[in-house]
Amino acid sequence: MDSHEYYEELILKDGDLSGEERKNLKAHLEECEKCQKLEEQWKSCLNLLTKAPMVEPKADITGKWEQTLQVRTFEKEMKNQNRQIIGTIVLIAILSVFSCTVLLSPEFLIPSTIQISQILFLLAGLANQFQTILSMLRLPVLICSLGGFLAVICFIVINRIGINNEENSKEGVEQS
Amino acid sequence: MNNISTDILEKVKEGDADAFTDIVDAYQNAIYNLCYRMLYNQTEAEDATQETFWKAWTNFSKYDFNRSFSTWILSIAAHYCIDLQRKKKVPEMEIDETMEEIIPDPIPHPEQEAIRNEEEQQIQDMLNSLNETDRAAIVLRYWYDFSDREIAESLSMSESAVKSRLFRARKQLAQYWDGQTQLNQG
Ligand SMILES: [Zn+2]
Repeated sequence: MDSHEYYEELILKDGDLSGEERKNLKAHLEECEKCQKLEEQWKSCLNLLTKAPMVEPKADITGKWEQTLQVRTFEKEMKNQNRQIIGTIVLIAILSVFSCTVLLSPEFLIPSTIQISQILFLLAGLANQFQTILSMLRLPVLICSLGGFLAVICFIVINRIGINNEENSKEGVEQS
Repeated sequence: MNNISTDILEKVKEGDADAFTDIVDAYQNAIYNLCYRMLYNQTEAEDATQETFWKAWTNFSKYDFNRSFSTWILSIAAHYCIDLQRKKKVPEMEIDETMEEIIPDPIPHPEQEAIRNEEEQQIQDMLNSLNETDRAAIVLRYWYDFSDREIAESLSMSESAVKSRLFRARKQLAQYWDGQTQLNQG
């Protein structure tokens, strides 16, 4: 291979070279200045990279995490809630627009009017039945309420007489 | 970077936030270092660390217990930082030439710079010369001893793609080194 590519690959290879590879590379490096330079440069780089430390955070990551968790969880919940509300509103809007178009469209207008009037008839029938039941019960209800009224009056009158009698007897005792 | 027990992972899967705090304790340094190496900015790296943990917490149901947890969570951090770097690039391209003079190179805070020694600066300059995906591959290899397969898994690419990326990145780093020494000499 007359290009330097093969040797560049060997120079930059991560890991050990085989015996033959090492021999080939050594021979090439002796006569090729370009690859020699690359090897030197890469060695300096590798030296820096392998001894580079881990940079540690100066801030309190765990403390900040607890805050982050709290704030973000709240935000997420709010967002979900808002999404639910908007979703419901949109659903209702779509449904109402849809039902309006269906109910008011020409081919549906007559049947839907008939249906609405049928519902109204049904309601009127129910109201009628309720009325007849009421009218049948009118006399007993009247008698009951009159009787109740009289009973209450009697109760009050009897009570009054009782209290007056007690007071009179007390006065009588004191006088004697 | 401790290996977290399956017991804790099971608890987290059931929604135990306290168990997840154990994960935060165990992985904060590993995640922060990756974010810092990718973003080269303390505040951004701290935010990216929080973001990684949040993503891990909310997507925990997607974690496959047969896979290594370290690979999974570092993969989240790597993807997030790669995306962040890509997003940052977009407005830069829209800037016209007159604006470019006003905007300085992405130089970190001066105080930070004073603390960092020369080597640290060199490492970071070297990493910054790579594109974000190559940088992530190099960081995962040299800081986390990830194999080609693990890098492939973390960055969602094939092993052969990882091999060619690493080769290209190493060559670029070596050449960057050359450019720097020439600059220093000249
Ligand atoms: Zn050569």
